[in-house]
Amino acid sequence: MKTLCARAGLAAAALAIAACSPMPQTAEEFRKAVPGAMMAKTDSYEVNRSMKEVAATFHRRAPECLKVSVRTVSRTNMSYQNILTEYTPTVVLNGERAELHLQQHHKTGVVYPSTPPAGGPYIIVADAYPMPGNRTRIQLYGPSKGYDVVYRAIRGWATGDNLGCPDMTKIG
Amino acid sequence: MTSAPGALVCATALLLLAACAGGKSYSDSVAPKNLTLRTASSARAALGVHSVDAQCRTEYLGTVALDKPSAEIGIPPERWSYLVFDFSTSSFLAAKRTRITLETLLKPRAGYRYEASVTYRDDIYNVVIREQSPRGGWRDVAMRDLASCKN
Repeated sequence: MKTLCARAGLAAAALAIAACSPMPQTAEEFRKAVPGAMMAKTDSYEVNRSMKEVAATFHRRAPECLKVSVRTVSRTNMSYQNILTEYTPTVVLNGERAELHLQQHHKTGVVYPSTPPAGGPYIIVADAYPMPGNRTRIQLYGPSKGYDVVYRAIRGWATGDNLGCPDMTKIG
Repeated sequence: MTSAPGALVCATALLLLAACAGGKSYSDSVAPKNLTLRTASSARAALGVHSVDAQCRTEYLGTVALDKPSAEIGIPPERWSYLVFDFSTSSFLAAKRTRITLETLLKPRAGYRYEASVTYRDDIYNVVIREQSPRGGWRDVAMRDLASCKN
């Protein structure tokens, strides 16, 4: 497992969707909650690869890149924060679509307003749908700010142009 | 002239710099230079090399600074080594330092050559290791967890 250490400010945007009550307990609940949530967005685009190829890349890269822990330490004259955040990716493949779920669990330093699902609140869901002409449509759900590096990595995996991992210490 | 407190500050800074640089340099005199490291990174990159025993325990051997586009090192063939690719960034204005690592086991085969492409651009990082057989053919080498060293 990869280990990441960071000394950075708190990525408060991560909790924006999670703070909405009630907290989504499944990816499907998350999809439904995002359109009406503050600091959240949906986005979609098409890529010139088959869904099978996109799904295979999600399946290979998501565990390698997104199953990480990030420690954020922030010190000022007035405060000290030490937050351990664990990310858990899940890839679900079925005949209709491929799903990439990313959950974010603050193990320390954060109090949740309600009980999060196992693995932590859902933070990003990316669905890949097959399109005519061997193309795939990616439908994204997640925060509107702070997670650009993850969105760019997912796009790279979807297009196949960049299979690199997002530096999760850059979130927030 | 440096005062005693000043010297202490300097010594501390030097120790911190040494720690940031990843400790001792990796010495590969016992192994043929079988791994070419090609680096294109906007982050400070380094490779930590560890030996691995039969119980999958690691022992730190040293660090290679990946501060040049290309470097060659030797990794002992026919036994597991644990490679830790380290990317560090810092922002003075934001008072922020980050570090991210990507680890993999590698057991080089005797007579084969290896090439690791190490990249960090726009906060996206990647390491791709390829193996070249004595006949010249290339294949990608999959990343392996430390726990798989017994397999």
